[in-house]
Amino acid sequence: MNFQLFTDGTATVIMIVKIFIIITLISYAVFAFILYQQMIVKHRTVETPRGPFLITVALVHLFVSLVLLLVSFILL
Amino acid sequence: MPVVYQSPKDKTYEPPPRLAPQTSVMSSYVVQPSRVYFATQAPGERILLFLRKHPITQLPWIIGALVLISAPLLILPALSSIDLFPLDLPLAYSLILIVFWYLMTFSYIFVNFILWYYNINIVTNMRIVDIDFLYLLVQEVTATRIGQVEDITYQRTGLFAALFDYGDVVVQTAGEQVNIEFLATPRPKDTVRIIIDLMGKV
Repeated sequence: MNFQLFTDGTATVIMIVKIFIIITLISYAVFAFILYQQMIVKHRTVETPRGPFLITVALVHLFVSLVLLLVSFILL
Repeated sequence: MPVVYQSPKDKTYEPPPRLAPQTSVMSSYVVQPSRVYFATQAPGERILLFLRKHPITQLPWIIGALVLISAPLLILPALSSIDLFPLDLPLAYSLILIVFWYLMTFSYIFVNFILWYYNINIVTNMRIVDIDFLYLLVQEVTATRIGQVEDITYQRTGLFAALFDYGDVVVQTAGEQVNIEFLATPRPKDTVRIIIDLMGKV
């Protein structure tokens, strides 16, 4: 395989990578939202003292994934 | 008039002294946990045992997480040194990809942790409850009354199980009801003894 073509980094390749990253980050943000929702469901099923903390962690994770998506829109 | 049925609310069970109440809910074997409730808990129902899989059984994904954390630090310099991979992406792309890698690694750790944390077996003064989250979106709750338990066995197989004192507890119930399994639970012998004591009181 000729990697030289790849390393040259044509505009088309960069554009494909950009679209791929954006789609992946959107999918990941959806996953992070589902994870947050599931944390709430789990906490309703079993209430423990650490539950609210874990929900907060899931919320922060969702927030970071959205920030990364936003940053990728701006930078890429 | 003769008493046909007496409510079990006055029946209480006190665990043996060596199984004193514990406060840590991060543990995998908690006797009479405080501030822990489950969705279908009845009024007057008291949690006696709160069990999870033994922490040592979580070792495979912990090792996997360590590999994921260290992978970019080890693989990227190696790839750039042998010039095999197109690493001359713009800096912004590389940064976003690395941040995304660690975000995915975090979610891998977090999902595995909550699957361990919320896969719970509960023994109350009335029932035995098995709460399973098989995957992120699949929830399965099985419960049986203590009075419907017919047989209870435990099995400890393997070197790790013997070393760390964990095993599977199988609760067989009457009739068509599904059996309840506590997989890789710590101190299976104590768990079985407590349930047998409860069966004797019901």
